[in-house]
Amino acid sequence: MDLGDLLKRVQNWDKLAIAKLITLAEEGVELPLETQRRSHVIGVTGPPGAGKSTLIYSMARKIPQDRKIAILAIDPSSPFTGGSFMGNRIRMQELTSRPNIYIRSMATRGIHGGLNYATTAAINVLEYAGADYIFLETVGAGQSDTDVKYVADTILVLVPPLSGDEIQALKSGLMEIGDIYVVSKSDNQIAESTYRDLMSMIDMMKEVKSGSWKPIVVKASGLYGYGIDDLIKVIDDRFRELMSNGKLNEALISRRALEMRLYAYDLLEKSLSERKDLVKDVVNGRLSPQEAARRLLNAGKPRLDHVAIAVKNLDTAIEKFRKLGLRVGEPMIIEEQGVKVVMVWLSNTRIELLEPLNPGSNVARFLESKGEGIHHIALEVDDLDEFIKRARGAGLIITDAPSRGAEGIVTFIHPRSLNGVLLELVKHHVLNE
Amino acid sequence: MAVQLIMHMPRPKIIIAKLGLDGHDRGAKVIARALAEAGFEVVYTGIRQTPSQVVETAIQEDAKLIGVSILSGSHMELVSELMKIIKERGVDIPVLVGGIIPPEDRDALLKMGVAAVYGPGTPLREIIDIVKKLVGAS
Amino acid sequence: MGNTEKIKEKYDEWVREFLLPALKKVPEWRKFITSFGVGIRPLHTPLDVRDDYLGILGFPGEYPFTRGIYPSMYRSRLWTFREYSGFGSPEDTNKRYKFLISQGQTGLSVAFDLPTQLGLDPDHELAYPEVGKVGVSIPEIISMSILFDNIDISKITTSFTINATAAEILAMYVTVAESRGIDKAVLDGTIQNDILKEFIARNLYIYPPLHSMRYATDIIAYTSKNLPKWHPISISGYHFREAGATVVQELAFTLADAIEYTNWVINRWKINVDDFAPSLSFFFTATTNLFEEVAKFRAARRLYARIMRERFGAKKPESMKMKFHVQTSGAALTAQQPEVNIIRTTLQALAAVLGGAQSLHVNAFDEALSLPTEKSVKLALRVQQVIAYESGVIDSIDPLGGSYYIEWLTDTIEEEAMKIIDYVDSLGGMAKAVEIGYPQRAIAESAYQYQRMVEEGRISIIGVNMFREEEEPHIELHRVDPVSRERSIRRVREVRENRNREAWEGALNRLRRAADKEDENIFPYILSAIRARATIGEVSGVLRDVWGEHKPLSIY
Ligand SMILES: Nc1nc2c(ncn2[C@@H]2O[C@H](COP(=O)(O)OP(=O)(O)OP(=O)(O)O)[C@@H](O)[C@H]2O)c(=O)[nH]1
Ligand SMILES: [Mg+2]
Repeated sequence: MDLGDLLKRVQNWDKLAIAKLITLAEEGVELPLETQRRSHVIGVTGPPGAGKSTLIYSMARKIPQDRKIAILAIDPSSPFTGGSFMGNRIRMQELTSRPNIYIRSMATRGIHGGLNYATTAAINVLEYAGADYIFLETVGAGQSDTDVKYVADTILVLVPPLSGDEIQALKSGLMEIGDIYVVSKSDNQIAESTYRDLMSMIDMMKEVKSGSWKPIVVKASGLYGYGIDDLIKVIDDRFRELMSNGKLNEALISRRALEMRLYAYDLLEKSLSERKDLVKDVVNGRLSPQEAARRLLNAGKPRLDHVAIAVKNLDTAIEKFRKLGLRVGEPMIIEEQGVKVVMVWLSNTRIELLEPLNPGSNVARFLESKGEGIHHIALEVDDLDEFIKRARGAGLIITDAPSRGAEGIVTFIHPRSLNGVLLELVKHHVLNE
Repeated sequence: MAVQLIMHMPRPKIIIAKLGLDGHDRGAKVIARALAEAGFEVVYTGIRQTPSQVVETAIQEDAKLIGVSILSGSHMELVSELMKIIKERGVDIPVLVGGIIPPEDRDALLKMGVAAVYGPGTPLREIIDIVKKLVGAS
Repeated sequence: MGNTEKIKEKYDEWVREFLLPALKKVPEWRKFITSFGVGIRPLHTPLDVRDDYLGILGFPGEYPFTRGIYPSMYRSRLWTFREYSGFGSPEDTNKRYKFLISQGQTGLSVAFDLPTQLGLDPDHELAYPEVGKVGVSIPEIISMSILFDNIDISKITTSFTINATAAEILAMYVTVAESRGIDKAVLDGTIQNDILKEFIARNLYIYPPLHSMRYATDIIAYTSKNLPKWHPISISGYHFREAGATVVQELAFTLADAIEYTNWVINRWKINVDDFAPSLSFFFTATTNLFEEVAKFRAARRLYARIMRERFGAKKPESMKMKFHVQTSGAALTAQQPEVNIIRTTLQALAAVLGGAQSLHVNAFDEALSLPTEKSVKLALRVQQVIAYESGVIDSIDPLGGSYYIEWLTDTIEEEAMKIIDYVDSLGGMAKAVEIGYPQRAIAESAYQYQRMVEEGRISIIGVNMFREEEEPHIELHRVDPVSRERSIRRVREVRENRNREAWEGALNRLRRAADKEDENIFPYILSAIRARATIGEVSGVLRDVWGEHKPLSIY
């Protein structure tokens, strides 16, 4: 199915096409979706088991069937296996076959604020598809769940019937983000007192906070259907207000900023998974975690791999560097280059000490003509061929064809063509190759 | 070296459903959980699903596999309906059937296009392996 | 030095000088722990039992009933041989009942199909594939009458596994009895009517929890006045275990349910506990772990007696006696090498009898493959008969009582169960616990852990993870006659056409109004509707309209 076709079908509320497009978006494909606000994005949050799924179900059931409803239900991923047991849908299954309703389960897949890039991408798709309501059920894990405020136009915070103390405990985090507070499970005697406690708390907050919208408190029972009509009315009233005062479009700005931040997290994790070599270097103590992280983020740019010093006597040189408190590796003999080498590890780069093995070698000649000192500088590059091409383009002379060195493929740029500096180019072995 | 996990990547999504009126959900839940622990994103629909609900769910979730569990003896009727709807909707999703299925019925189900049939006592490992194979995960 | 100290000293000596050297030569070949995770010592002695015979054991027929609820137990009357059965149409099932009675069965137990249990008429779209599959289809009163054709229902006791539509089924049974000139007061039998366990484990519920509890409680209130011999509820642990619960969870959740029902009846109907508690009955499983099961039954009796007397202030001994039915464990049956199941069920049935059951069903060996055939169900009945008539295990009451091991197990299971019951109390009782999903989650967790232990070989199942055979079993399976479904559909349509429309409509309207009034007992209205030939789908349809339907919980 080509993308243009898919997009057209999505706009006709073709659920198969919506599903496929969300999958594409999840995979990070950039979609040409012009976003025009038309959906009321309603975040539904609250502690685990507060009745979020049940409430969404009973609202969606009562909203007129000529309105399009999308439900995104987020379940936690296991931090150990990455898998997820997604059970939110169970409560809403009865709505699955209704033409006007689309339900999608999504896993958190990470730890950032309860939402991930896929969620924002899916919201874009659903708004593009013409949803009138987009319900976003969060995992409800308290403080970490606050990203929802950047994508939702309205946040419903569910508070199950609780004692006053328990509500106080909820206060941090959840109690600051709500637009509408719902005393859920209000088919229960304790609900009345929870309602009163919430009211007084909200009153206190109203004084502290300003702005045109005052949070309100309603009672509802998703299970028995009480108070649902009123809740829908409150939600719809709020939507009209958001449209008329321009807040709806403003919300798009924060959504896009969130989308960028979440996508950055995705890219970061992706490059982490691709740069196992860096992790290995950190584990082996070759790189500091900080430097490895910097390298990860600067991926694609050449880095200073090492500075090489030609020495007459390796052992005495090693001794000096040791006395400076630096970590010196094991000496290695590299026959092809006719040198004995040792690496001195710094947190951001290395110093390479070179001692010639025989008088005919490159390094021996260097010592003879110039004495001890800096012999060359090495840059690590990701794409050696590309870099060589660029060097040739700049009129620089490449000394040899790339060949295998101690740690990867290497070649050199002749000092004559580069202001008297011998520049080594290294592409490291990918360690798990 | 379990230093890192790729969390952000979408995992193959699998639907586990109880088809029909039967309420025995022990097996379905155990399998759903085992698949989640094997790294899949598993949508458990719960009990009392109709064939069309299951297919609709798989479509909306863009699932890579449907697993249904039936212990009420109505597997022939329900699965043939399920396969019919899958064909009608023009989607291509492999179906796994688990439950109390007599051997003759199992052959008939396979003939209908069901990818695999499992009875009681099947090791979870075996089920996880076939799921991996069917969704093309390694 | 007292006797206990002497034993202790000798015991330590035995461990030191005999046991440990022996183990050094040949170590134990596996870890020995109870199925609920408590370590088992190699030998039990008087050191393991409490020295309070009269307080914790006593005599059969006397508080705390640990040794049995009747003074003479099986020496006066054997347990009821009650094979659970039902399939296809009532004609097919009636034939099976007569066969079973001719083979020596002494009570009936009706298995209903899923549509009947869920209040759907057989011509309902969702019902169609399931009609007559796992039980018999009884959507209206004519079918009920055919089910008991030529069976004397004033004599035989019948158990109905029916919950969400228990009232409709009981109403049909009462109406059939009346039409045969039998006073409903003489009817003896049981309806399961245990909706809490449906929410927890069995999943055949219809209405939301509060309405469901009202429905169940109203039936109990009604029968306590009008059907004095009837058991209006069979509080069930069986299904917890089938769903994966441990033996301790089975016991604890069952008793926590009993507490919740008792509270409901007392609070809603202000009936004195002694006026209904004697009619409560119970239902447990028996797995192949012989001693644990025997201990469970004994612990159950003792715990229940104490709960009824101490918590509810019951005065009548009848209110404290736990009467229970046992079914051998369905989950323990294997599809692999199915004949081996006969050996399993024999051990399981033995556990029920040694545990003092009032009624017993033994599973047929082929039930992991399909419904039983006439031949396999007869064999199951024979298992009961061999135990009753040949084995001699019934000769002395509670023959394992006083075994150091059994008494230790009984105490341990009781103690562990009490911890869970206390926890449920702390949640505000079982209805609340169910609402937040505690027992559901606990059972799902146990089921998963059990499965892992099987996979890892820490639990042995012959034919599944030991001594496997590649060959498929070749056994003859039961098939439901496809004609029976059409018969069922035809009959329900006939009933709908041939009734007094006005009477029917009036009865349903009155039912609707009563459902909406919190303080009415719903049962008489259901009875009137059934008498006016309303079908099961119509009656529960009205209740669904008023009360709504319950969505399954998102618990795993
Ligand atoms: N009494 C009562 N119980 C309810 C109500 N809504 C939900 N419940 C119960 O509360 C439990 C949790 O309901 P869900 O809707 O799954 O809650 P949730 O917040 O989505 O739960 P998670 O997604 O697991 O965090 C279930 O057992 C419901 O039956 C209600 O309105 N009244
Ligand atoms: Mg939820």
